[in-house]
Amino acid sequence: MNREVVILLFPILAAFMIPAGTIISQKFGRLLSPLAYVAGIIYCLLLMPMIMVRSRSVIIGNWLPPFGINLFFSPLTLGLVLFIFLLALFILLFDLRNTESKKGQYYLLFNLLVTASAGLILTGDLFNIFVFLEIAGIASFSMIAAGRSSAGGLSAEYSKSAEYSKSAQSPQGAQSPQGALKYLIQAQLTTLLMLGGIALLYSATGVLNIAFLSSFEALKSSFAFLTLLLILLPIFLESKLFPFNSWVGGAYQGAEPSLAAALSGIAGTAAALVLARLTLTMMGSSSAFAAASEKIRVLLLLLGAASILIGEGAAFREKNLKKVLAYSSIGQMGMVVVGISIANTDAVRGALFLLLSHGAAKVLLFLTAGFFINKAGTPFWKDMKGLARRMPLAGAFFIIGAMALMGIPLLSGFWAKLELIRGAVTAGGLAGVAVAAILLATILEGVYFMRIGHSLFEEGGITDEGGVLKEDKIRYNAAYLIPCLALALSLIAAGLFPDLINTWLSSAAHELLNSQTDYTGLILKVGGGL
Amino acid sequence: METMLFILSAFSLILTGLFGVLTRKNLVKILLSLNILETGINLLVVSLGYFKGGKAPILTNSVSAAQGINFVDPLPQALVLTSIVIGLSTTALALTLILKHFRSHQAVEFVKLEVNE
Repeated sequence: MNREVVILLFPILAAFMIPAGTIISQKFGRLLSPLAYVAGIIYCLLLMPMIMVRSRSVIIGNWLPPFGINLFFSPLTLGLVLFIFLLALFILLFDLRNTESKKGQYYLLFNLLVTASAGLILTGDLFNIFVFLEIAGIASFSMIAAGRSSAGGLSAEYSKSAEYSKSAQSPQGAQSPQGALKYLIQAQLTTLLMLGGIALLYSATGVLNIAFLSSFEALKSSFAFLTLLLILLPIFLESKLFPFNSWVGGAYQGAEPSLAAALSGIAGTAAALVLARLTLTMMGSSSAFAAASEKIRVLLLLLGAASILIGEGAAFREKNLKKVLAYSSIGQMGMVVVGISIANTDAVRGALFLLLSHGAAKVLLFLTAGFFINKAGTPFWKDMKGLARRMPLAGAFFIIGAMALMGIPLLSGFWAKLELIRGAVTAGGLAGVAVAAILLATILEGVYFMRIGHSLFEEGGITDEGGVLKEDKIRYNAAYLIPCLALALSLIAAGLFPDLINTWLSSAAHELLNSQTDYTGLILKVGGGL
Repeated sequence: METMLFILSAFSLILTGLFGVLTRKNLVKILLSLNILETGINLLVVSLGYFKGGKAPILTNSVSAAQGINFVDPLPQALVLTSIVIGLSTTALALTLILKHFRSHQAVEFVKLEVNE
């Protein structure tokens, strides 16, 4: 009996109990899902001491790798599963009170998205990655299409801005699944190409297991480059890398704030880890892809640097608050990708730290943005003038999240960017381009986030004219406060005491960079070879 | 020879699909092209596991493992089965979304939304 596999059961059992439970009450899914994650988090914490001592590869269904599937449990993967479970719990808590009542089936899809993301983090098999990507994709397309509109289901009396009320009057704008469709077509195209890449790779090597491929006879350079590129395409798409990010705006705009938080925090984290697994663990010097590794790294570095600039530039110009956050995600994920592509200890540690910091900060920001959008009745940040004066605590959460993204000292993003830049400077050469991009992006982030923050705290505006905000509307509820307080405090704690997660970061970076001892060896020992 | 034929037809399907996805405006046609592309990829996967004279990889009473030495590779077939199921569900979902899109816009192409875009 594999005790570790039970982790995946928490979200998946919750998902499949929901259709039955919905017969009793539409609220079943909404209430059950947070409980499932509380149980999952406790279970992760119970497993953690054992996994911290020794990583374990778990074989599914007694089919030995490379023919069967193995899940790999290490401090890195289990820690990230714990992290996405925590984020899922926070998002679901927010959903309890703060969004329009969602149907029970929504939570089925949400739980499937978390299951697929956890599976992506844990799995050690390329075809399994394809399957989990498709599951995550189908869940996200449906949830985005089910969302109401850019403003997330507002009543007409709150729609103040002239622009917004125009779109609210025409039901066309409010109900469009266009963002979801664009995402679906692009994701489907790239995953199919990935399957083609997997087929070519299988015909040449006969294995699809990451550990086996990481110590394999080297393929010819151009063939290795082609197959790896095809396999990486959908992961580029999921981690919003330029030029695969044109779906981001439409999809995030259609999504409700809590779903946008899930897409950015949970699915984004999983995608970045898969990218790290494929380009660090699977592309080492003794791997099948050794001949192409240099080319792929340069490509990743350039694409990462381009997404940093393009994402932050788009966020700078954007008026819709949710899209500002979505575009800033492109930039932040670009920084993570740059860190992964540089592939030295400092850069990888920085990238992982940034991944955690960005995930937590983005969930905090999206939840707070959802709160603001609901209160102000408009998705545009310019129309939210003065809102934070009436809700100083929510304003403070927004500023904390924004400063953590920018990398202001005393918050988590600072250490992440510092280590990332230190790694890039050590590497030298092309990485200098990335350093310039990151520093420029930080300035841009500073400008647009401070502009929004200033507008939120400005005098006058929405609160004074016409009494749009009634006194009783401003009360916070525990469902908003608890998740945001926890996220904001953890961002500050990680900034004040970065040593808290240093041990974890070191072992995680060590695992990614020393695949022979920390990953491949463990799996081959159990798997028994070809 | 057969394998070459399979691979050639797989690639022609893949290229037809790619061409359709990139050039069509009609959402249903884009979806059809995606399905053609998918069929091509599935055919490619199966054909890479095929060799001339290979038998279906099924163990029965009359065929023992020792005789089964000329089985074709079963793993690509397992992969393709999974991929077909996934393709079916994505196609169904995409058709639903296209229907929803059509109901709100009376169009099967992407439309420009003034405020939202």
